[in-house]
Amino acid sequence: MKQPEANQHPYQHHQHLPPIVVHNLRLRYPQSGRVVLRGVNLELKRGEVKLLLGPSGTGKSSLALTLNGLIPHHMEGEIRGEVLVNGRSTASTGVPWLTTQVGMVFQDPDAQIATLNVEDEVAFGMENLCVPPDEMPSRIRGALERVGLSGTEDRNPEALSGGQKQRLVLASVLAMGPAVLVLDEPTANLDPAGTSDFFALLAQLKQEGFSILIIEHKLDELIAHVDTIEVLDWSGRIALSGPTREVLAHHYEEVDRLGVWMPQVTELVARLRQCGVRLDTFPLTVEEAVRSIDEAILRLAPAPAHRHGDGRVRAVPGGSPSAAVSAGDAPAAVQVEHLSYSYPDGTLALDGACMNVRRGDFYALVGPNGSGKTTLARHLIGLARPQQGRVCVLGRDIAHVHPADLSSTIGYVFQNPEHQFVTLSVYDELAFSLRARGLPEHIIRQRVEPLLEEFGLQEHREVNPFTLSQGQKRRLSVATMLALEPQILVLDEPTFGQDRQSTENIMNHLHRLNDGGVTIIIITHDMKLVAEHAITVGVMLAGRLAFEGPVDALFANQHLIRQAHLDVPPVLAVGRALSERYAGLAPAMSADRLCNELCAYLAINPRAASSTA
Amino acid sequence: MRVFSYQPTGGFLHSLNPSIKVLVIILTAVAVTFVLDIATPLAFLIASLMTTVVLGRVPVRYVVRSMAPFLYVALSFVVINTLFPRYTGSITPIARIGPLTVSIEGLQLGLSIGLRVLFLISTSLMLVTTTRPGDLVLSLVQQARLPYKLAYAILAAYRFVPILAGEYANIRAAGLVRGGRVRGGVLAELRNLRREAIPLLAGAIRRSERMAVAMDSRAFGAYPTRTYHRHLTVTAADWLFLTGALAVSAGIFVLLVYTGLISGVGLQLDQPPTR
Repeated sequence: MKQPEANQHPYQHHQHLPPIVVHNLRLRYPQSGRVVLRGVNLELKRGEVKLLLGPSGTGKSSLALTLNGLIPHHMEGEIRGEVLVNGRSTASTGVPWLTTQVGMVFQDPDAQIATLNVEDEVAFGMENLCVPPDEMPSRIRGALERVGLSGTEDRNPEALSGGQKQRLVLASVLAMGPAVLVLDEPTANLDPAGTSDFFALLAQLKQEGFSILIIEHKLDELIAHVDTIEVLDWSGRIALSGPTREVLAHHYEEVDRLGVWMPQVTELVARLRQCGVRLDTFPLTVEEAVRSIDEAILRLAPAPAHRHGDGRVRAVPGGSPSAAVSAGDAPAAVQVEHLSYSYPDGTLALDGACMNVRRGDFYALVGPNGSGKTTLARHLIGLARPQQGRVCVLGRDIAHVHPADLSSTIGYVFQNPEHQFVTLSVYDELAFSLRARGLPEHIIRQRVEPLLEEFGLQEHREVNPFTLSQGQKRRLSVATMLALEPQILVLDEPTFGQDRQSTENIMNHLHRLNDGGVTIIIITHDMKLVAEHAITVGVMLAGRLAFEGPVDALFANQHLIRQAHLDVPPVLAVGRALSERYAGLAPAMSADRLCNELCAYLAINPRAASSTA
Repeated sequence: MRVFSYQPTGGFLHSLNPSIKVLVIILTAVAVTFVLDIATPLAFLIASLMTTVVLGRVPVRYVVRSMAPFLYVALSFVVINTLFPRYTGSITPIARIGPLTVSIEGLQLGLSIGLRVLFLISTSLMLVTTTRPGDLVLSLVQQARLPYKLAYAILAAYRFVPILAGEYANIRAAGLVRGGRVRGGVLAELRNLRREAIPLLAGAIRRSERMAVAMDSRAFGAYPTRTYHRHLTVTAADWLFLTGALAVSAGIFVLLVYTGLISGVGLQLDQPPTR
């Protein structure tokens, strides 16, 4: 049997060649006839970290799968052009060798882990390559050490956190000895703390000399480690490419137009530029942004700006410009009293949780994975029955109400839209709960048509919901819950896996509903979303609410932020640092609002400036 | 506490080769199948439970809690076989329930089948509580020569079960909220199941495709064989256990024949079963 060359040290081979060269790559899926890539060129240099950006559906993942030969060797896909890995064409090289050169990590850790034991998992790839058994223990040890999982050798991967699982997958890949890593949204399923740890690990691997190509939406922490950016657009080609700062500084508008996520600091800088505030450098991190905006203020301030150094943090004014929240006397939208719940296996999911959502509130429920957020939310709609405590919706104890009867009062949008589909066409899906209530067809039509229009689904009315795009599925699942015009809407991770454009659409819908008086409750990990949109925030920690109050009060509580694995949005951090230096400058929750604050402080009229700029 | 799962109590059984344990289970199961009395499966059941408790150091409480749900299964076998005996011949009626006759022979047959079911479950419990699932698969490949691709497919399926169960619970819940679940009756449940099967299957297929891609990216299936960082061996302890199990089994048979509790293999019936 031919033995693979898996034992070489990663840095010894092919020093002179770029590890990956893609030349005029075209990719077509023969079954659907869809052409995904139409002449992609890119080059990953040794030790380089390259970020691949692009709206969803442009073939980023397909491109990734061509880099270790899985396309065309294991998956259907006709390729033309060439992918060279360390000088060898993937088309004429076997996958086993390629896997020793290019390691891949995907989105969902649970769909990657193949064994029931940490050590077995790390060994999995090496065993497939027929690495001699006596060589493996030291390589297993090395890989686990590298990803910070030493000491977990005997554990079942199921017992690890999402972040640890993803690092375990990475360890298994590293043990096979590649010097190139291709990562396809590796942090998508991780909470903020898990994401942070994973990026820190990437920074370390970069130091060690690995070449990394990464597809990622969460850019705030990552961007400082990215050397170059490639942008894939709808044409199936690389539309833009170059060093990070150059692409973001000179082509911001073009990238922005594609609706992909951008680092929040970059958004801020771009907004400032539109208002006529030019910075001398192009910052990527919070520290850099504070420094260069500080310089700009000193340069631009009409009166000599006076810095003050008392270090006093100013309160952030009003979390959101949304409709006023009704106070006191009206019954609360949702009231949870000392709710406890344990699963049949004895795991305590809720431990005396109390929650109070006022009518008209925009409420965000946050907290680490497994803290009981979803279990709590399920009690609100009668899917779980209180074992102890009480749940009231609009003043009514719901202990004995059937979930289906609650749905005209309180709607619930599940994390996976597909789980909620009950019919075979988009129109039927929206009409479903109305028909179930025996409404006549012409009334149903009157309610469904506006929903189709508002959520951009008119031309898909006859389509099977399962065949929609991710963004359309999400919009449909929200729309179905609105047909009954509920007064409260609960959404579990409503923006999960959505690109920026789609996220903005969904959040705009929610704000419109909120303005119309609907109480919104979202469960999320995305702290930028919380900062920008929520009025009240509840923090779940070990089965109870460790905090409930205005958004700015949460972000002022550093201890809780750390304890609950949350993070502070970069723009808020920038605003805080600046407000410590300049009296009269207040931090803000979004790039737009901080930009307006800065313009007001500098006495610049943003509108006038942007029209002349 | 999750019943019927691995218990890391560090007993003698834990140190044994999983394939040997499987072999013992198969051999004793076959042996018990050939007799239709009550004493044999009862003796084997007691032996198997004692092995789990003594050699596996699994707490009695845990064994009882794991076996308890299956008492109902066994009981239903007893009831069905008592009321609807599958052979004709001379019977000794002891009671009548409407058109049905309860006979000593029927009761005996029912009890013997019920006890055999319990015995088979108790051996599975012995295996499951004292064997890491990963080791079982590894051993089936290394000692029982199971093709490794099949073994890893089994492993993947094993890992998917709880995930799919969670997914199914989600889909049911989502249906409830939308009023998509029809209430009442078996037919209604079947209709619900038909609706719920679509998202469940769509999710399962997508998940298994992703799993396959992730495994292929780590060179799974690259060569006809693969190496293993751990090699399970068959040691003297394993042979000892195998021999011991065979000796105990033979002992039970000899003892029962000697005491007249079984008069011969399969001779309990006056006539062979008609079907």
